[in-house]
Amino acid sequence: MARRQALTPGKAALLMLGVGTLALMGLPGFGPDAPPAGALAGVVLDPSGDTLSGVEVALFDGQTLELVELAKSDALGRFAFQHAPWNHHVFANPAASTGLVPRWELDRERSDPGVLELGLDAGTPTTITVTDEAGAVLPRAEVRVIDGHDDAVVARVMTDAAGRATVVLPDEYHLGVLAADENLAPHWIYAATPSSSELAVALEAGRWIEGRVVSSDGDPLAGLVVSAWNRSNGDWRWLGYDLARADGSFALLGTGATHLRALDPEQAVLPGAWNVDALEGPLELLLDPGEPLLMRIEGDSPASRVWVYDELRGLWSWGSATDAGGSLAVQTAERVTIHAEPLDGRGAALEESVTREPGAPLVLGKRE
Amino acid sequence: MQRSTRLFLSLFGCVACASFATAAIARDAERAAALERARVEQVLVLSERTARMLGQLHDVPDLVFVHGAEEGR
Repeated sequence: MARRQALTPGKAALLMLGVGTLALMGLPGFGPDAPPAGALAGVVLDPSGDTLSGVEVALFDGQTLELVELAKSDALGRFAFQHAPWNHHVFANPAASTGLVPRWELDRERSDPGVLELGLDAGTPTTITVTDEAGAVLPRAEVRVIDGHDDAVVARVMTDAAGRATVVLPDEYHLGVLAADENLAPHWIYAATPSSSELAVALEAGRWIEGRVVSSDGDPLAGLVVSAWNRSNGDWRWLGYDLARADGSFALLGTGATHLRALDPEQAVLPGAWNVDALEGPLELLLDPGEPLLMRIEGDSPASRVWVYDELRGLWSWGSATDAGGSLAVQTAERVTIHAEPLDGRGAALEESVTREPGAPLVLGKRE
Repeated sequence: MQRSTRLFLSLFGCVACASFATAAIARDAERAAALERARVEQVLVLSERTARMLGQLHDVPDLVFVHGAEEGR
């Protein structure tokens, strides 16, 4: 049997020396550089990979989208949250003066391994001046920036008394300007790259367009996306959208020659499009139910986002995701073109024109 | 068939063929442009999720940006 040895003063001194040395080496949880402790830890990095201090980091619940906790990166760029909902989103929000683009980490799970690294990219600081058509500045207008890389909103800033707001634009972005005056139509710029440190946006007066979306049986179609486009001068300019309420009603602003599109994210009815100027009286947008089509994408990356083009009406559907095996059931017209892109971004998109055949599942991307 | 008739038919065929090909190219280009618009439209609609979260962070009133939508959407 091993005998337990007594702790002599000499051994105790050696032990204390060892522990002290480890603490000075920065062992996690010890010494002056101990990282913040919590249920979820991470680090903020600048574009060269160096740690970045003083950056606000926000944690949101993945289900409710509610703000759960705020933290700030310490002198070594580290941060920690005390709470971590099972599904969550994290947002790093550097000050605009840093010239860095805020960044999201979306759809994380508490079980995701490792320390969360939030690497920030440099952007282009840009001052946006918002006016109405007559040139009067518009305070309290919202300037919204969407990062073109992940399609997430990275800034929502209100204009000041001079109608100005400064944001940091990513190298690919979409930008929305939305006035506090509900009669001024929103202005959207999409798929843009920064070209100047100053940007002027003049908001047009709009007219309210109200109506209902209904099925061919007259039933209201709740949850449909009704989207407005200005088609003046041969250009297409997006004006915004509304979601149809339980009674199928919607209301949005149009300007110029306004074109409405109604899209079902579930693809349970066919998309529809209308030129508002050609319609009279209360708008009742009737959507064709189409016929069911079951499709399956084959290949190395079958899970895809699928858009369906109605050849007769010349309309694309909402882009719906297949299941992991590449299957999707949608309502379609008889002659359609299917456009599918792999959800994992690997592999090429496929596009195929087909005529729907009753009952027969459509297989796409099949190797001969 | 006379030579002039054959020549005329050949030329007519070429012109018809070219017109058809041009129309098909224009149709494909319009379809591709329409797909880009549909894609952008979807991106902007779906970005609402992150916009709502940022609204809490930046204290931006939601009703400013969702024109015509019911409260709390």
